[in-house]
Amino acid sequence: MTIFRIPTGIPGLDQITHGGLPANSTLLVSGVPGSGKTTLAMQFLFHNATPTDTGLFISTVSEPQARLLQYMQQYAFFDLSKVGSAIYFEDLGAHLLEKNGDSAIHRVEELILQQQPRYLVIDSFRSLIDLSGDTAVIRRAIFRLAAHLASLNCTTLLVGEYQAETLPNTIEATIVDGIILLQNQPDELRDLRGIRVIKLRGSDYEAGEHGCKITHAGLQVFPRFRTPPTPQVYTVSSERVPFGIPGFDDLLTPGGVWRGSSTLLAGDPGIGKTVTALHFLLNGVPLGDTGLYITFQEDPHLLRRIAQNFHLDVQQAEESGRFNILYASPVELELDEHAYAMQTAIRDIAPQRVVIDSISDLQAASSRGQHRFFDFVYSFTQWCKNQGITLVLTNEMGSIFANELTFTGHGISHIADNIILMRYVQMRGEFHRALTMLSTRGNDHSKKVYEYFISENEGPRLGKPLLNAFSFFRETEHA
Amino acid sequence: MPSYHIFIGERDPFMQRTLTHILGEAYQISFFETGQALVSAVQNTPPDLIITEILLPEMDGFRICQTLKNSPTTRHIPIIIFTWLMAEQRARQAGADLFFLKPPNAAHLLKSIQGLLKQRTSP
Repeated sequence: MTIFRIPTGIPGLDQITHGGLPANSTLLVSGVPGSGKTTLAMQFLFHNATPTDTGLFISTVSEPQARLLQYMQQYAFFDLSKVGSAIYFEDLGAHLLEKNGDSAIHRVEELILQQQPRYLVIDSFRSLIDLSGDTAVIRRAIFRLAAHLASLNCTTLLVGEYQAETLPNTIEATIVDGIILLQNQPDELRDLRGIRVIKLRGSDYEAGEHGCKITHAGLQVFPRFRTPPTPQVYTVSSERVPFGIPGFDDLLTPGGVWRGSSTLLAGDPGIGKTVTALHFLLNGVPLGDTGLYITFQEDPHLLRRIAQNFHLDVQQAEESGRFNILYASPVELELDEHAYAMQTAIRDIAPQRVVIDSISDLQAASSRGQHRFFDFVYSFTQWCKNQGITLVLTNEMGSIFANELTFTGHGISHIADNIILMRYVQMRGEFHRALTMLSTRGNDHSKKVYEYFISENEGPRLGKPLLNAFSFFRETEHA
Repeated sequence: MPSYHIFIGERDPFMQRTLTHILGEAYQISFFETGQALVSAVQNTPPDLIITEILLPEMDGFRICQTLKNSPTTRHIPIIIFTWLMAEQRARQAGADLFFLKPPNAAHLLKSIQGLLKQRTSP
């Protein structure tokens, strides 16, 4: 049997609930104060309620209706014309303070019968229980209300301040068909918001924690980017994608990398990863490829200046729509929010070549742990592969002139199809750029280390092979 | 003994208490908790001034304004919409003479009421 679902109007939440909340269900929206529970409930009401299918918002003492409305009006979803015509507000605060929770639940039942809402919110449901002296009486009242709600053509959100740890032991958790848990944890200078669906009776959903944020538009959920449970079928391309850098496509990867593959440019700071990646994208323009440069380091103006310094015609490529830049600060966004922005840009632009500069910056946005970061990079790489996108990722080395191969994102090497290592080497008292192809998946490649030249007049080019290049603090010689 | 009678459409007991504190000494005030009760009372015994919240059951503040301003016997009564909703344009369109957002500014509210009562016309 297919469950009819009510879309929430909250971007991303319908994705993790596979289409919205089950119609006529009763759900608990829980979380600590300030986690976005009321915003979620209000957004749901404003999205769905109409003069024929009305919504009823019953507030209790945790947040007086007056204050609630004062703040909710600031949101873009708040539609004044719906107030009093599609959405009705009732305040049980005074009733609850004078009487008790049992009596307030009676009043809720009266209001439901009088107004026959299609959508109901009780905020906060917990206050009804907290202000009831007799546990047995309130339990009976809650069971009665749950049975009453189950008999109605009404989708209900019970909002309450519950901690994730104690929630399963509450009576409310046992009577509802679903639980949505919102979280808001301080993470150094910022707040880390998250949302989880803990239970959704008779319905599948995306389990685990997803990122979310609250803006003027309301609550927005960023479904956790993850690899599909079963591998998607995609066609393995036999086409090569050249970098267009003299020497690169001949010596390192004959003809270029495979279309749909991912290449990691790992190297020291200032070694030329950005210039190399820019060349890769711009080289695709005359070949009919559209490129997207996702940068967390250089804002678009700086990136254009870098390109100009190397006589790369970014302006014309941008005007033709074949070169696009997506810039975001790594410290201001959460990982899944980045994923959402990147996916949206990729869907809008439909590029054949994508650069992410850099993975190490993206790692800075990963407040949910390293495991989550690697899971994300792997999933994103796979997703790009499934879209037929040829991907170049840049990655900063752990420390400048390190004498061992330590990647900042240890573990990334398992994710990319090709790894190009770029390092500074010392030759006759000077530092020179050098690079080598460390690995290419399913393909033969040169094992040599090459000198790598980058000049403003000639751009980047591969030079001669070097000897002992990556034995640090020893003189390197030309072969 | 206050000479002017003000009808107030307000359900929130805490706001009722605040308004009683602000207006109770200078005016005779009566509270109504539904729009219908307010309009019926106005039609029976017209007050000198009306203050109403928009969010009232049975008939909201906009409809109260429209109903009373469309009736020849009540259109002269000044109406202040006093609400949490940022709805000044709709309130003015409905016929409200003044619009104030809650929470109340006592001095401002008293001065505005005095001004409206001075300008008051007969039916």
